[in-house]
Amino acid sequence: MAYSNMLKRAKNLIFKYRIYILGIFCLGLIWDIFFNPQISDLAVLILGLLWILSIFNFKFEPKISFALAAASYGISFIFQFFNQEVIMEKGASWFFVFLLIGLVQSFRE
Amino acid sequence: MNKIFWLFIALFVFLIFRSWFALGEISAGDAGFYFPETLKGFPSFPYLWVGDGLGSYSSLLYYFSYLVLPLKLLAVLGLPWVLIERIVWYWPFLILGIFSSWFLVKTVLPEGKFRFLTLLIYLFNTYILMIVGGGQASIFLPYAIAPLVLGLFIQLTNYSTANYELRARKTVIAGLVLAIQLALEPRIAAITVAALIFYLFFEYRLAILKYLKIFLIPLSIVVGIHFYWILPTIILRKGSYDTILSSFGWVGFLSFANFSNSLSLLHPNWPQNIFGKTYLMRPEFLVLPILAFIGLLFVNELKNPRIKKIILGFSLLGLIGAFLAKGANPPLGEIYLWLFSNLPGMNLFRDASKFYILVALSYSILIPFSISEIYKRLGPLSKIFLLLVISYLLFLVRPAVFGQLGGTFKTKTVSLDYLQLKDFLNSQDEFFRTFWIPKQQRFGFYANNHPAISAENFLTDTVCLKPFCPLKVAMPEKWGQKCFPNDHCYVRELSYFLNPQTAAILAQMAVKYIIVPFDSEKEIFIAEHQYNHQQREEVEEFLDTISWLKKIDVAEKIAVYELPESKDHFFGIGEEMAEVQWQMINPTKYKVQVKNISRPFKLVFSETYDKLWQTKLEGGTISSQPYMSVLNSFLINKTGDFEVMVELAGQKYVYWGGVVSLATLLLSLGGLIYFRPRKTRQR
Repeated sequence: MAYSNMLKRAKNLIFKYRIYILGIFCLGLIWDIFFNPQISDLAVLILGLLWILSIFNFKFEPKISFALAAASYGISFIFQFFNQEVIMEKGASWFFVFLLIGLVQSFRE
Repeated sequence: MNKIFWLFIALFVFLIFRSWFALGEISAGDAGFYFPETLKGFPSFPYLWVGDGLGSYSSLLYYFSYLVLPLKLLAVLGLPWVLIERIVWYWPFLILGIFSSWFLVKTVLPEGKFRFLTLLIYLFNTYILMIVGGGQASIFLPYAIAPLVLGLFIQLTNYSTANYELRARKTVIAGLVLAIQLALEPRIAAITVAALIFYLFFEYRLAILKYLKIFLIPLSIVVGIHFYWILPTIILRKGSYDTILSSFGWVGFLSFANFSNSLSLLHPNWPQNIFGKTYLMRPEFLVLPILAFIGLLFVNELKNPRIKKIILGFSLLGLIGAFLAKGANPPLGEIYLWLFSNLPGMNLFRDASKFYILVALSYSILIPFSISEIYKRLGPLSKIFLLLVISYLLFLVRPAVFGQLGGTFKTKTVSLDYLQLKDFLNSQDEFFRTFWIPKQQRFGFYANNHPAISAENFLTDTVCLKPFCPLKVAMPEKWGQKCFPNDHCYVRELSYFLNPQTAAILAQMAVKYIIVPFDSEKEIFIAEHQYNHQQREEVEEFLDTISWLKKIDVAEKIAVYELPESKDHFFGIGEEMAEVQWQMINPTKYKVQVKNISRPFKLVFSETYDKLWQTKLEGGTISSQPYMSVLNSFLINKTGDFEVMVELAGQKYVYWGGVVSLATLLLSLGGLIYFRPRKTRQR
């Protein structure tokens, strides 16, 4: 009982601060792609989780994830021409993450 | 229109694989070259032991039925090697690859347009072209079969139980085809089955009984047919696989691809195919995933929910394949390492690039789907778009189209020196071994009575094995001055030749000749990814200084040295008057006749020591004891003239398993005849 109450409170809290979660995700994504000098597993895991929470909070459709995947891939594509290998690789990684989340959403639907 | 496309496919097959339709050897990379004398000595039955080198457990056991036996049969029929290699390895890749990928796309997208694109993507992508170029027949052949296996099993999910006979026939066929794939390379078969389970998950979720219904009979056929090597592997725990395949440290080293490479179906070694030499990402390849995944935008408009599920399933399969193919590289490379350590069977995938197969399978379905959906929407521009896509796919593999790829894409000629060496060795009937420094060249002759040992199997900068490791001495500074710092220095690995004991050790290993090969293919004396002729010269100069080696004139470009003495395959120790004659019945059984024995003695069998070697004498057995740490020896307490049988004890499990294999094969073929189409039976 205490556990389900806690879970409910956590859900309410996450829902209450959904806009901040989305904001942190957006800023974090930009930071990770353009300013983080390494390909960080932790960043992928945390930002991925924030995006999944945002999907639940805002009831985003899979096409939003696909759009983010396309945008990430676009970044990867563009930065290839500037020989920015780390940014290119991160764009490809985020393409994978968003596409994976979008596909799982599609299957759930 | 269809005829034009098929003509177009045929044209590009001939253009890209033109060396396969020309005359000349195409041996390169892993694809060996065999003289007819060598091929005729290949075993006609799977044996647990092979006499190559100093003898070892057979790593050929599981692919004996496809990659060993047909080579021997065709050689016995008198066909030349240039034809044998094409009949057994290269042409089947093209025929199977075309048929199999066509079969898959017809199964999953029965009404799909532009299915010929599947062939273009599956057969002409950089991954498989590099595998083919590297002569990895045990990878490219099961790769060619993979879509057929997938298609057959997917068909099984579609047949209703009412159509019992058709279902039974397809079940047997699926089992037999999977058995063939497994005979070529179990790891590729495992990837195909994993892809299949993944596909079925979207159909059946966790309904285990439904999986059993699909897999039980085919997998029983597969296990039954392969029981001849599965049984000894389980009982003896001597895997057909080399244990080095599962070493953890290799995973990171062999993870050459990054995410951009694997998502773009771009082999990291493309196009030069030099092991370990990776290239920068090429922008043109980044369009390929766009073509593959853009189809997802149209999925919701599909009326057929099954096709929607297939497209989503193959998209996910491609993503998982791309993730695994990058191996231990970031991001989340630890997941691969964790799977490697904890998932049973995953430790066979130290080279993660094998998962490119999943990406190729996925894209070969997704791209034709995406193109057909875009084509529908483009109106008058559609034909131009299609032409652009085809041109783009061919542009990606332009080095192959323009004949710039090496490896098996180029024909070569066996140097006259190697023909002279073969004649020289083959003219001698007695048993002896050749010792190649640093390793046997691909055109170097060997046969059952003249096995070839590569020095690098015992001693390199990273390997140090008995009996040569303890013989190492300090190497004078003057040797190795031409080597690159921090790279392979071949001459400095030979210090054991300065030790006078080495001559006696080599003699007891039945080595008669030391050979420094002529590196005609420039693939042995490699330093800093390039052929380094100076290193070969230095090795020869060094061996010239060894007093107990006599240089003999056999071929101009190959250095051959004769040892002062070499022992036979069997010889006696402790009884100098012993006369030992032997006859090989098969690689796991020898009949040895011993004469003039006046006191107990040690019978030495110069093959790698293994405790399963035993001697049968007067109803009893004598187990092998190590001799010189590496050879077998048997202490014989009998005098006079007598005969002993030397046998590898584990071979009996191959025979027992072989009975099950034969019975399963006959039952499966009987099933195929019994469940043949009804109309034919009525006739």
